[in-house]
Amino acid sequence: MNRVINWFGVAAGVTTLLVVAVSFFVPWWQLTVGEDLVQVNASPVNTNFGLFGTPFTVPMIWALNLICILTLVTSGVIMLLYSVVPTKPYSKELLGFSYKKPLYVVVAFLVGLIAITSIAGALGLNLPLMGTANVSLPTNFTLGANISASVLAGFLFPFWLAIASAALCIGARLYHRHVVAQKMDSVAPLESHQNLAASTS
Amino acid sequence: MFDMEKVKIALTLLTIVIVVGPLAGMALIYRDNLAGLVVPPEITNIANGQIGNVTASNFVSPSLAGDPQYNPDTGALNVAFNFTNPLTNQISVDKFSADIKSKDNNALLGNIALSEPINIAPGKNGIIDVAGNLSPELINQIQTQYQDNGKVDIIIENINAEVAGVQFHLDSFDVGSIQLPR
Repeated sequence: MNRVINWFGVAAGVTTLLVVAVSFFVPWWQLTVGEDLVQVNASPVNTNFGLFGTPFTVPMIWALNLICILTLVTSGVIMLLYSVVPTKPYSKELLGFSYKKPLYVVVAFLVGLIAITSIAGALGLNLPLMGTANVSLPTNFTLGANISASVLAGFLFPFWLAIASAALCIGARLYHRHVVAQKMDSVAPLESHQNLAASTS
Repeated sequence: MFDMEKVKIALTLLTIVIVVGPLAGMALIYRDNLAGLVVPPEITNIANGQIGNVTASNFVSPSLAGDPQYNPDTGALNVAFNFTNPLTNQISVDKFSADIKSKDNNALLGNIALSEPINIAPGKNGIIDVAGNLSPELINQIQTQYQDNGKVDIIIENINAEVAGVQFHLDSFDVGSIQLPR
């Protein structure tokens, strides 16, 4: 008998774990002011800041990053477990736990990023979400001097990989119906044959 | 059915541990300084006037390196500034331009600009050469009118500079006087 596997789930699980691994080294979104005077490396896995060459992180953000790492890792592992046993009675629970997490993380990250840039905009710092902009500091911070800096911001490839991972997870959820139907089709003829044998004996 | 319930409970517990664990752990570590959870020491240092390794006390503004050189025949003016990079990363001075005016009658004497871009390594000293042309007629006129010691008091106005990708604009900067050869 052929083993039923949800291949979308396998791809989703592997991609989710890959997102975590890559995000330790490359941020999802990066903002650079001037020639690396200020740098923001943001991702749900590893967010850190650089100010005049001094790197630092915020403990609360570090804790949130840890939550996201654990969430994505368990989501990826459980998605892989589900994928190889998609027709067990508890498989739907495994799928239900794992398929939404990458999407939640991507959405939460985007909402947070948009909120932070909007708050900065309200304070007079119009930071771009993507692309280059010339940002002027409010003059009450600069003792009367006009100071502006070129700011470069953009999403890097782990972000797009995370979106792909979220899409694959949703694909795995949709494909689950097909996998269950496939299993039912393979079981049904066998059961009817057994029923026939029982009824004829 | 038993398996399903067990898995459901295990996954719920796992979610709770994943969310609560790091937050509780961090709160425990910072229990004596809860503000430190959102305000790291680096931010506190900025609030206290320290950025990276730079403090208000160890930051030294660019200073004149020697006397400005002025050629009364051609009107060429060369000014060198000394600047120590207090940061931990290299900075570049890409642009500098300004108008030079007489402090006495506010007449525009000429313009100066950066001779060539310069990179200054972390903690190192760099000489920023600025060159320009002043109007010899106006200089003579001012000397005759206001000064008799060979000096002209000048102010630098409309200063535009680009340092490490950051553009600065200052309306004016009083540099004192320049010695002019007779």
